[in-house]
This record gives sequence, C-alpha cells and structure tokens, in this order.
Amino acid sequence: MAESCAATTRAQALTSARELSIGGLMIALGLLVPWLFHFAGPQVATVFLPMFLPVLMCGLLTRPAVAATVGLVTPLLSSALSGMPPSPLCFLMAFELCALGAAASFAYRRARLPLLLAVVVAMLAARAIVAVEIVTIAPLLGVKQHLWAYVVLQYLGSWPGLVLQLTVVPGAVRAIEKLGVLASPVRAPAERQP
Amino acid sequence: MKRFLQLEHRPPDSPLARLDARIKLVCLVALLVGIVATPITAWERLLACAVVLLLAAAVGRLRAKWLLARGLILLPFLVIVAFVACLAPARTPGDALGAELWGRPLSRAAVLTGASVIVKSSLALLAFTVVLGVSEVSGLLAALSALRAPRLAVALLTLAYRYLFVLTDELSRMIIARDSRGRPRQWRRRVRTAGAMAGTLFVRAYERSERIAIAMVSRGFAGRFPVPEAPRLPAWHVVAAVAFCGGILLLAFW
Repeated sequence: MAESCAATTRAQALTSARELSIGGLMIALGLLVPWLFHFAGPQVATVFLPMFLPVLMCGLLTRPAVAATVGLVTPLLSSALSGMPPSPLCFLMAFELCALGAAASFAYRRARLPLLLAVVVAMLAARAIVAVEIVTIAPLLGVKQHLWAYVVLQYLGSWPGLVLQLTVVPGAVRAIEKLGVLASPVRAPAERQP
Repeated sequence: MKRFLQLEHRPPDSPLARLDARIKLVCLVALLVGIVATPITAWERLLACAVVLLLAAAVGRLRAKWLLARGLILLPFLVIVAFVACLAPARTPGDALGAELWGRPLSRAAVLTGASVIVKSSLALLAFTVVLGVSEVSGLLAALSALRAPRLAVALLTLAYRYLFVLTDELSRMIIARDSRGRPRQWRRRVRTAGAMAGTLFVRAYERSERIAIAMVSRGFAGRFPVPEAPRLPAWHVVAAVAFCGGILLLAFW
C-alpha cells in the first residue's frame, strides 16, 4: 500500500516536472522561433505565425493551466525582450494565445477529442477570443481595428501559418507520443469508470 | 542572438540598479497602465511619460546607442501595423481627411489610431527596455515571486530563462552549420531552411526537456519550486514608489 502510494507520488512529481519543463521550453521556443523566421524576411513571421506553434504544441502536451500560462506569458515576454509584438497589441495576442493553449489542452487531454479536431477547436476558440477582444478590449487600448480588417489580415494574410498549425504541430505531437522517452506516455489513457 | 534578447546584459552600477526589483516592477506596471490609458490627443501627457523614461534611462546610466538599437528592432513591425490601421474606412463623411493612401481615403480617426499604435508601442518598449536595462533577470523573477505572482507562471518563466541560454547556443550552432553549407538566396529556399531548422530545434529541445524533467525529479522536485524569503523593503522605497505610481496614474486619468 505504502509502495503504491509512493509510486503514485513519484509519478505525479514526474508528470508535474515534465509539464513545467515542457512549458518553460515552449516559452523559450516561442521567443526564438519567431526570431528564426525573421531571417527569411521581415514579413515572414507575420505570415507563418511562428509564436503560435510552440503554444499550440504546449496545449497538446500539457495540462490546461500550464498551456494557458504559456500562452499568456510568451507574447508579453517577447514584447518585453525584443519589442515584438509591440505593446499594446501584445496584450491582445496574450489572450488569444492563452485561449489557443487552454482550448487545445482541454480538447485533447480532457475531452479526448482526436488530435486534428482538437487543433481545429483550439484555433476556432482563439479566433473567437480575438473577435471578442476587437469588439471590447481593443478600443480601450487605442486599437480601433474593424473586424473585417482582422479577418482579411489574419485569415487571408496568414493562411500559411494556419496550414503549419494544422500539419506540423499534429505531426510533431504524434512523433513525440510515439517517441516515449519517458516510461509514461504523454497523454495518459482514459480512466476507467468504477 | 543573445545580444538581440539581451541575455548577456549586465546592468551598470546606478541608483536604479540598486533599487529593489519589486519597486521597479510596480512602477513599470503603473507606467504601462498610464501610457495605455492616455488618449493620443493628450500628447503633452505622453510627452511627460517619455521624459520620465528618458530621465530614468539617464539615471540608470543606459547608453543612448543601446536604447536606439532596441527601438529600431520594432520599426518595421510598427510601420506595418500603422499602415494597416490607417486603411480603416471613415465612419462619418466629416471624418475624411481628403488625402488617399493606396487608393483608399484616409480618415482622421484611422490616422489617430495609427499614431496611437506607434507612440504607445514605442513608449511601452522604452519602459520595458529601461527596467530590463537596470535590473538582473533573476532579481525580477524573485520580485515576481515576492509580489505573489502565480507560482506556475514564475516557475515557467524561471525555466524558460534557463532554456533560452541552452537553446540560443543550440540555434547558434545550427546557424553556423547552415552558413557553412551556403546561405540560400531564394526566398522559398530560405523559408524551407528556416522551417527545417525550427523542426530540428523542436525535436532536440524536447529531448532535452525530458532529460531535465527526469533530473528534476531525481533531485527531489515534488511539484513546486522553493521560494526564497524576500527581504523587507526600506520605507523610503515604498514612499517613492507610491508617489511615482500616484503621479503617473493622476497624469493619465486626470
């Protein structure tokens, strides 16, 4: 009984350490990957949305609280360290990425939706949050952008980024799940009902 | 790359560098709220914020070249955002300015929005830059913890700060390898190379994070990082911070 309890505690500590470790890693990648894309040209980062990739991946690999925190912190930290995205737009992006990470984690790890469907749900949730932001918070921050401008910019202008989110991230998560570096799988099996 | 993210920056010795990081963080938040809340038409208040920040930079002995280099990073992004903001249509016929941009009529409200984005973004970046320039990152993280910021966020930021050093080294090696193979000239090939490098970075970084998680558990990590006890703040620090925050908020909301 005591051994079983200790094993459970150790497994919980390992899960917690792994989620924190992945979360920290994804924040760091969220700062570095956009910088890498700036090599290819100044507009490439706005087309491929590179900051979204680590946050989405974090959502699929960790619990909602960690993913939401990563989504909230990454744009703010990037804005503080490198000036991109510029403030006050970084606040809008922080809420968008927070929703992206939390929705991905909730859909994939709690609701146990298929991987691709979870990614689509997360992307839709993030867009919904942005639509709400543009109507409510953005005018308070001095950004009086119209919904049409957002739709034109984000959907038409950044379609390669959306394709990347739908292809690269699920592929990478599948690869990580199969990799099995640690003994326990990244996505725990569904608990049986008594 | 480390220079770009200011990872190797050490704050020069100054009264601001010696100030407690908690005070600096609280003042930064007040300043950001003040900047965001001030309407663009109240330009004299925004100018006052800029003067306060430049004074702080001077007291903190930050070099003008260093500040300018950080500001220039933002320039291309700001130009795009301001350009898009200026394209918003006029809401009322009387709002039109009579000028055109890219075949679209400019409106007063849209131009003010563009100006607002440029001015406020630049001021916010200047505020962040000054605070980061006069503080150690480890001190700021400890201050966040002492100010009762969510433990999860502080733990993630601490780990991310450590990872940045590791990953920038990894990325530097990959960039040297790419350059030694010959940097592609075509836009498409450059994007493909950047994508392949990002993918490789993801996989290597994930393997590293797994090893770090195992190392954390084997060293006794039980789900929470230990939080060191913060020292007591001198009374004059608190008084100065309250006066500064009050002044800034009064300036913004009066």
